[in-house]
Amino acid sequence: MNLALITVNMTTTPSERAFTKFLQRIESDPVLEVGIIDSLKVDLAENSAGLTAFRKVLQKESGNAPVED
Amino acid sequence: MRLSKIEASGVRGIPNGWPSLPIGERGLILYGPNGTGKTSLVDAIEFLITRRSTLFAENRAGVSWAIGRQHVQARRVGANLTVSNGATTWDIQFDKAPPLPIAAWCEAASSSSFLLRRYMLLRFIEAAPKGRYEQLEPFLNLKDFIELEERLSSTTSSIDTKRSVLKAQIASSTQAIRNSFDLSHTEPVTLVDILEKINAKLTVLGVTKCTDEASCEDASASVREILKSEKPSEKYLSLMRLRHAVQQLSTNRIYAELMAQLSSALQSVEEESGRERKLAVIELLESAKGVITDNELTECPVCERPIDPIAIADRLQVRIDENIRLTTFREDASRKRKAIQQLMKSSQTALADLISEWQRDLTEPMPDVYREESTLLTEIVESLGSFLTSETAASYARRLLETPENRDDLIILLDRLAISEEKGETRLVLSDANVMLTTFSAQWSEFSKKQAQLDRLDYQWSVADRIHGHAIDSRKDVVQELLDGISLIANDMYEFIHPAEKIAASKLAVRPTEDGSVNLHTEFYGKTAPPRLHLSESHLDTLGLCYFLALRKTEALADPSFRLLILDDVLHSVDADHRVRVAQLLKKEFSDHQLIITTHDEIFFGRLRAALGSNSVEYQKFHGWDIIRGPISGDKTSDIDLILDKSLHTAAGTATLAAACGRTFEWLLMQLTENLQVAVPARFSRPHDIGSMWPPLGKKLKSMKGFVAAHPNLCDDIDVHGWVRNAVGAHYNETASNATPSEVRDFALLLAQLYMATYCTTCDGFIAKSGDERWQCVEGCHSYAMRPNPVTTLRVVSAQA
Repeated sequence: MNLALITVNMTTTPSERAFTKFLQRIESDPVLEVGIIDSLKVDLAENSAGLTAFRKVLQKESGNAPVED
Repeated sequence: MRLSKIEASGVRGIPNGWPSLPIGERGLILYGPNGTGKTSLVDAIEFLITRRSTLFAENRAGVSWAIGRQHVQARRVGANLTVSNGATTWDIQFDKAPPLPIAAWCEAASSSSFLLRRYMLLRFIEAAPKGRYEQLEPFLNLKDFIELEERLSSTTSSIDTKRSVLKAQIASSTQAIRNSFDLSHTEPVTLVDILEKINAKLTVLGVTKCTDEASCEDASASVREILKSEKPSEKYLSLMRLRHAVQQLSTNRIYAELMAQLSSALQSVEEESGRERKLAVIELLESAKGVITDNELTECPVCERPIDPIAIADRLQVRIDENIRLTTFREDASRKRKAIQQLMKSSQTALADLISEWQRDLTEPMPDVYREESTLLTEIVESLGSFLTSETAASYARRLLETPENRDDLIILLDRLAISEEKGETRLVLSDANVMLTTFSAQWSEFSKKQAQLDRLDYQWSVADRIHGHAIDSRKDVVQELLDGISLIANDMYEFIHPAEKIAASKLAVRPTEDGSVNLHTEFYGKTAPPRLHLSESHLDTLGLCYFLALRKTEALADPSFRLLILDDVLHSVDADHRVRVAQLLKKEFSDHQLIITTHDEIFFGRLRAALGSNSVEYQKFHGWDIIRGPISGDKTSDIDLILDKSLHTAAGTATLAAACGRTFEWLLMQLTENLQVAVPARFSRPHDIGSMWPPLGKKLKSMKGFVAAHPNLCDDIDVHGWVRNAVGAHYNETASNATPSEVRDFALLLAQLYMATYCTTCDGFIAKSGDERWQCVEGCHSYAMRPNPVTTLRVVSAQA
């Protein structure tokens, strides 16, 4: 079998590849505000269980309506 | 890391005191008829490495590894697996955690698919798309990312719930405004439009126009003054009351939308609770899990039976997770249900009152459609107070959309009646202006405040939903990449086992419209369909095997530290030639793995031996089992090996050699009559045997000039010695009779000669018919022609040589 045929990149885990793709997708989304994208990056970096930064920015962007749990 | 020895004692079919079994550096091949204890060894190895067992598809109804793992007569259950990295060896014991230096290796094993049992073979192929994804999920290794997805989903869902509740809260004021100002369901409700409509009426009445909310109060006072000065008839007043009531009626579009959302929420509850598990108290489950894991219980504290604490803790965790999800879904559905119920109750009452008042005050009949609508609303309000399924809610959503889109017909009817009264037309404008101003004064302030809040929530939801969608798509992209890689490997392996058949190119595909769902399709002569639709049982089995091997291969690429593959008697439906190809595939693709293979097929055992060789691979035969002794080891040599190796003939003994001759002769005849397309007498109630197959095959061999030229006396010699096969046992007779040792040995040599004359060791297969005038192996390296070319050198093998 020609393993070179296998397109799957084995140097990163599937989760890591999904995170990379996710960031690429949101960064290239023309509708999303920069502040929203940055807040998600902060939550990802801090592994924030409650997506605190994202919720905060979302609340601010929408005129301070609280984002409920 | 390699396994080097398994010592099982009191495990499944292996009694206390059973000897240890060495495992070669490249593996162990275990042959034995059914029920001789092969799988018991596999069970012990799996448990020692992973601390769990896949022996039973489900641990329930008293059938579980914890209960069934102990030999029924054993005093104790125990096992020891010796593993080595070449320099150091470690022992993994049955009742202890693995030694620290190999804990990571055991952990890798626990999260790998390395053992294939027969019941698992079609599990992947036949699974529903969601079930197939669940089987792939541990392998996909997306846990961290899925956690992010769940957080995004939770955020989106909580915003959506709040949005639905708020929408339900302002639904009645929105509807009242729309009705009073004659705005359709699709038109936006804006201050500019509303003032324009009010001012149109005020102009007719000669009242100063409104410019904002405060000036509307002045206009309202003026209109009320004019109304007071007029004295309309009782009939007119009654018509206006009804008209106002009609204008306040909601239409059911918003309820249909809310009902559809409730249906969706109920569906989530049903899917989660449809896993046949009852809701239990989460705290209780967590407490039970704590007791079991903290105390490392090995016995049930109630019935004192042995338990598997790791398996139970895992199952409890699954239940805890399910219950958390279920509780969340139920709370969401409950909030939505209450909001709709409250709103619809007031609508239902208003419509019922209107119908009653209409019947009392007017002689003109009310259209039937409103009575039907009233019945429907009553039914829905009652249903919302009791058990409601997602299907019923969806049906209500559809039926609500079938009710009148607006109340124009009633308004027109009432207006026609009002105009027929004295000064009716002017009074109507006055009444409209009064209704508009009253509604505006009562509803606008609260409506505009909540609408602004809803707009903000709509924005939040759209952003969160968009980001959640990106997360889902990103995961699906990655999963599809992985699946493409797995399909590619599986197809390559399948093509190797079934060369040139081209009937089952397969593809795994993430279902775009659903989450956690994977399709498997194969292409069969231009038709793409689920494999079960066209493929035979054996093709499905090999497809299942190829997907398992492809998963193992991909796992090994991702984590090279763990390279073990165990196949527990999985090739029962695959014919001999394809088993040979499987043996070659394992040699080709898994030479870096340690292989443990069990089989009840002696021929496959022989082919594995031929393919894998004796270097660093242990071969073991079990020829029997009983409750006292457990698996009874036998000679490691297969029938074919015994017959081909002349030096073993005397040592084997006449009875053993004779039995091997009987089995081998029958097997050779089956392969050759099939491959050479020899016509044999039809049999319907019993299988073919040597007596029905050899005469036509012998005749066919003698008619092929190339074969006779290469082996001039072989067929005649077999004819001459033919009687021996009856004496030695044509069909699995264990004991020979009436044949001397030398007669049996001569017969064995003839069989060896026939085997060598018809079997190609390069292609690992028998010769087969190729056109009308040629027999040859797959690659043509071994062939016989009807008109042999005298220059052609045929390989003439003498078993005597």
